[in-house]
Amino acid sequence: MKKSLKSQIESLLLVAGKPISLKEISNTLSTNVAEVQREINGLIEEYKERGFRIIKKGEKYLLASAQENGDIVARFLNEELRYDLSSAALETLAIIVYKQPITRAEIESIRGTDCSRILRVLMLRGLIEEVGRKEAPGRPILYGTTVKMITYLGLENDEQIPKLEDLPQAAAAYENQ
Amino acid sequence: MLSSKEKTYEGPLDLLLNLIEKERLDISKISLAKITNDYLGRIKTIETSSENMAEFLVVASKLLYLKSRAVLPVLSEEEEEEIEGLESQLKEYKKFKEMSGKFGEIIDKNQRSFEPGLKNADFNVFLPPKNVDMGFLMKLVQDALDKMPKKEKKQEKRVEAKVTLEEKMEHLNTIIRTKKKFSFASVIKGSKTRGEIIVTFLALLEMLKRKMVKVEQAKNFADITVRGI
Repeated sequence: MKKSLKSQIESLLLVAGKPISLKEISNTLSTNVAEVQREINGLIEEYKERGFRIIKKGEKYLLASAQENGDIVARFLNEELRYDLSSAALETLAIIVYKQPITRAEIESIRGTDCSRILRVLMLRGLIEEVGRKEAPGRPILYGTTVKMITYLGLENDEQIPKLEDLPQAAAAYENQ
Repeated sequence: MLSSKEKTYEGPLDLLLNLIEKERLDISKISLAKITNDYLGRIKTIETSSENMAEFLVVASKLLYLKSRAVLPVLSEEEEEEIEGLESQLKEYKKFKEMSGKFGEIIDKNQRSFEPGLKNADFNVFLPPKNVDMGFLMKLVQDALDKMPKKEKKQEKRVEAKVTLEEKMEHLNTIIRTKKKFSFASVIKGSKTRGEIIVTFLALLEMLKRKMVKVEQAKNFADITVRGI
């Protein structure tokens, strides 16, 4: 019984080809979320030695190729590994990572400059997406990062993203506040 | 001599941060005041859209505010907040800028993973229809050009010449060099507008702050004697 649940989840992850949520999986399999979670954690461990990995962001999971094979997979796909994001784009991405959900105006007030073009690039790359609307005048779009952003950085889950507090100067700045 | 290819700045905060770090200073009101002149010099050379330039100018005006406090130390609470705002905004911006550097390092490890299905993914490629040739395209361009609104020639208008602070300082400096000492009233006698008098006075304050001159005034509203140092 246990074993078949695991293989069912594996099949769903394989066929989905895009991030799917815990809820979607547990609804499809008519089991509870906790059990699905446990099985996925098992799969994540098992895959450590394999050519595929489960990428996790929040409640969403994506089956993808192993990070250490990035170079050969890129060659196979004829894709640049690091499609060059300008330093401005990386900066904007960093702001969204730590401040999401966030509106364009909020990003611009941090960077002190216009970001509309950069947001378009990040959207096209699939690194960010619209996650809702802010309940404020004009109901501006709220942006958040995607699972693809985790794969782009070559990480396994969102907990591996470096923490803002880990920056030495940032820590000092926090204490001063 | 500046290098032929100047670094481009992502925005006013990027420029500020660069100037502060170049001087190895911490972000504070004092360091912001110190780099104000540098900042003003740099934005003169920046070529950017007018919207972008407006953002550079907003920061410039905040810096000047900050600097003016050194000369006229009475600021309202609101103005005080404005300056605190710039300082904390810069600190916040610095965090994300550093973090984006970390992201760059992670990305440079070339450890990307890829989702399945990318090999045969449909790419959206633009292919022109078969009957399109050069002549047809030329005609479309010509049509589009014809439809564009014609540029109207605006009437030229004369604008009064303005006196700048730099010009006035230069002027006062020349007098000092030849005369060692002069009366402020005599200098502003030749002024054409009230604006010019104000600029002359500001120039004097700035020179005083930079310790280029000494001033004496017997009592309020009396004439001011300016001496070189």
